[in-house]
Amino acid sequence: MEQLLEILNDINPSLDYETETKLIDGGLLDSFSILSLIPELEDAFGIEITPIDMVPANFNSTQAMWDMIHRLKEE
Amino acid sequence: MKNKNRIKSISFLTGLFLLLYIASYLLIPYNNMGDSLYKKANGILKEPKNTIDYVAIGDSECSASISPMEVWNDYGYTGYNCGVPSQQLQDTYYLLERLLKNQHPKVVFLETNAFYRDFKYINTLETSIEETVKKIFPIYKYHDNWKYFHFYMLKALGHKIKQEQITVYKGYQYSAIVNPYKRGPYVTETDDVYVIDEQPLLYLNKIASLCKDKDIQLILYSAPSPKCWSYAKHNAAAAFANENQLTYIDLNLDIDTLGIDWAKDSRDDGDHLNYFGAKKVSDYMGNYLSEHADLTDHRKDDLFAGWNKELKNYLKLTEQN
Amino acid sequence: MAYNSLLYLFIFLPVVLLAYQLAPKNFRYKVLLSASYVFFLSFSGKLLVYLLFSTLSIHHIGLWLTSCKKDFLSASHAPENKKAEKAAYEAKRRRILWLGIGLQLSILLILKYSGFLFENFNLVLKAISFPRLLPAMKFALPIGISFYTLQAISYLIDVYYEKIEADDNLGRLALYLAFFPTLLEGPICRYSQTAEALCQGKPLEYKNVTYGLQRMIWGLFKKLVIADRLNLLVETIFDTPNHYGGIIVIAGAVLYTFQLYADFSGCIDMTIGTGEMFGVTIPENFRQPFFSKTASEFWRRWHITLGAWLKDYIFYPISLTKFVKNLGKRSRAKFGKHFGQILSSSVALFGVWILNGLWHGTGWNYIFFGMYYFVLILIGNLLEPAVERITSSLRIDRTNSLYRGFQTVKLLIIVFTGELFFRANNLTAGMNMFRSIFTGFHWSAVTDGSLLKLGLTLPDFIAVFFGFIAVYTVGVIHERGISIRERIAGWNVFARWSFLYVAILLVIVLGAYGDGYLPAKLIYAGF
Repeated sequence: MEQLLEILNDINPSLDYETETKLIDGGLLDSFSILSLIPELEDAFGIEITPIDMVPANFNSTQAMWDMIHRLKEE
Repeated sequence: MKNKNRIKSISFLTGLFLLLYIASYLLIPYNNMGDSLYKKANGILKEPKNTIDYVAIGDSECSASISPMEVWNDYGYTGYNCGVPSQQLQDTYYLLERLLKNQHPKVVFLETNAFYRDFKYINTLETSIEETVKKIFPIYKYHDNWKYFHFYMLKALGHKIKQEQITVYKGYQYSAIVNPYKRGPYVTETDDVYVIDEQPLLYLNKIASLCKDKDIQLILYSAPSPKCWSYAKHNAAAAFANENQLTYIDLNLDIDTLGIDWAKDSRDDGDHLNYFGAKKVSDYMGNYLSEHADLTDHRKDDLFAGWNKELKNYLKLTEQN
Repeated sequence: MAYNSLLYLFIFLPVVLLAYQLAPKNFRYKVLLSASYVFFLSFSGKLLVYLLFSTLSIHHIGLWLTSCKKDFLSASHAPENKKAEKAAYEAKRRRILWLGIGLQLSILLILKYSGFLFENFNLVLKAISFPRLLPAMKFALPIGISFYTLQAISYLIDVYYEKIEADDNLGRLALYLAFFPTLLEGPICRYSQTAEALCQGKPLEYKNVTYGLQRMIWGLFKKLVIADRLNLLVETIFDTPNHYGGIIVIAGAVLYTFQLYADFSGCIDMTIGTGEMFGVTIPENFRQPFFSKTASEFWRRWHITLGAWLKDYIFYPISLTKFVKNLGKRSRAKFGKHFGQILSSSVALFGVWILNGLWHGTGWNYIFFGMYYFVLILIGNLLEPAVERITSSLRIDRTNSLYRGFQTVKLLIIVFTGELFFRANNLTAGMNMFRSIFTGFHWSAVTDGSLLKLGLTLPDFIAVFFGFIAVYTVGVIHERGISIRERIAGWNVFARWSFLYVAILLVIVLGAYGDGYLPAKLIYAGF
């Protein structure tokens, strides 16, 4: 989780990732930020993110991203 | 709850209808200037019985191309232009049928452009709904009069609407705007024949047989129009004329004889003629009538004094520009 | 039977509402489906076969994808073969998906684009003096094909990704593609957004119907009072492009943008209002786009559903291909995180914008339009860190009103310029018009009355200005997150009714329709 927060802060430090639950739906992270996030996540956690995973629900909060990472790790 | 909503809806609608009805009165014009599409064409219904020698019918290509006052001025034949912008051929037929109750012209000129208008029943349905709404709520028809709204209209309120006879120049749609057509010659011969749709063809046949029954000479003509005309369309009209032994005058093939100058004679880049073009076409048609039809010169006839009066207005209008 | 026609408003819609309410609950969606097909027939007649083909094919292929999965899961897999079998299964599903997408796209390509392709191909043939040319072809386009094809493709991909389950109810799928309020101009809905609500057969509710009607009146206002009145002027300027220059062309671009917004968003208001009456929530397509700060934000707030479609089905899939990912790795290593990322995602961005341009139509001006935004958004992204640095070192507060004003003016210039090319009759005409802004610029055009010679009189301009004030005010209120209809619902009967009566009267009186106006088509229905 720490690692994830670090990556997120690197992308856009002005957001409060611990409480925000509408990162996508609220328009706080745009598609470019998401795209720069993906290679970071893939490298850091050894997962592969595919278009199937590109739904707002997976990126709206830090917890959601964390859950997605775990799910992808198991596969 | 349900009943309450029902009562609310009904009273809202009642209020709305009342309001529309009252508002209609504010916007009904106190004269008939700028009235509907059929205003000019319908003028023929007010002409005295059996006083019209020839009639031109069709769409806007018709109403912009023949000016009966010009023909009157030169030859003394009484004519009426019943062209209605974007008219469907079926409506042309009904208009002709209606006007023949009161008039018995010797010649009918039918402009060909409407032959090629694609037809959909849905459009007819939409038009008829619009006409109905205009009748029920005049505001729908006259809504645009807010532009000319002034207090004189309030004064006129309650008085009977004046039926001012306005001069409509026997149905000709006058325009002196010049917007040149610049793309050069547009007549290229081809063997292609445009296929006239089933529905316009049906009414074309009806118009032909109506004229036959009434012993009227039907003449097809195509007004000069680089934008609307094509050789394939010419071939279609020529074939129809041939089959039915009708005369077909295609003015597009005779631009030089007519002396049409596209730099001056169109009002909209070669779609319609303006006054200067229409004058040339009218001269041509008047000449044609004098050579091929047995019509009488009424210029000295007192019964037709009204025509000379209107001619004066017409000349005033056209010479101003 | 456009949404602003009397036939639709006073005959078609009331009849459908009545039939819907009288029908038994599980028959109601069939009423909507029949109505949608009647609506389609009224525009495109026999071309209904194309829509039916699309419907049947996505129905079949959706189910095929599902059964393929079932077969795979139910079959027993020996552990040593599992990997190979899974790969074979995935390859099969991919083939099925591509078959489905291919079927949808090939219809669209043939009907909409073959004329353009052949025409340009013939130019090449002529240039190399090849003796034979391809036949000139022009197909009649069924109404709404550009919109429903995208919906059909999104359905297939969503089923493939297992975001939704394939629908075995053909009627529901047919209605999802053809629901009549969305047929003409979208918005491009997702299956997950509308399909269920369309078929649940909820009875009409007083609140839904009145809210829907109010929304429709607002749409009619925008369409009839603003868009149709401006039509005359816009046509005059753009259809005789060589006659005008300078301020007149600028006025043309500005007023066309306003016309397009009023026309498209007005139509969408009528669409959403109609949906609301039946209890169906249709996604919004506009969110006060002119209050945006940047071009890319503008496109997240203008024609939202097209942008979202392109993002989900073009941008992300391309960005996440192996090729682009590897490209990203290399370019990040070479150019640093920020620029590297932008360079690699520009591949996907290019795909999005070329398709956005082409989706609107087959003309070089549309391709130019797409590329214009591609370049602008790319530049915007590249410059972002520099702008950040400059503004912070100069201590410019990027939220202060002066800076916001600068951003708005910049955005408006970008948008107006884009729409100038978008509306121009062709690319050359667009270029000439753009040039004539500078070569033919005279301040006197404002004072000598040339603006009044373009088909609109002073009262017309007053009506348009009034419309602008109304649209602007509503925009500001929505920007503050206030729902106007909720507010109105809270007023007392007298105030509420007076407001509605005045609104209706304004539409009727100030609307540009009837004698003296050529009926103006819905602009986006032509795309």
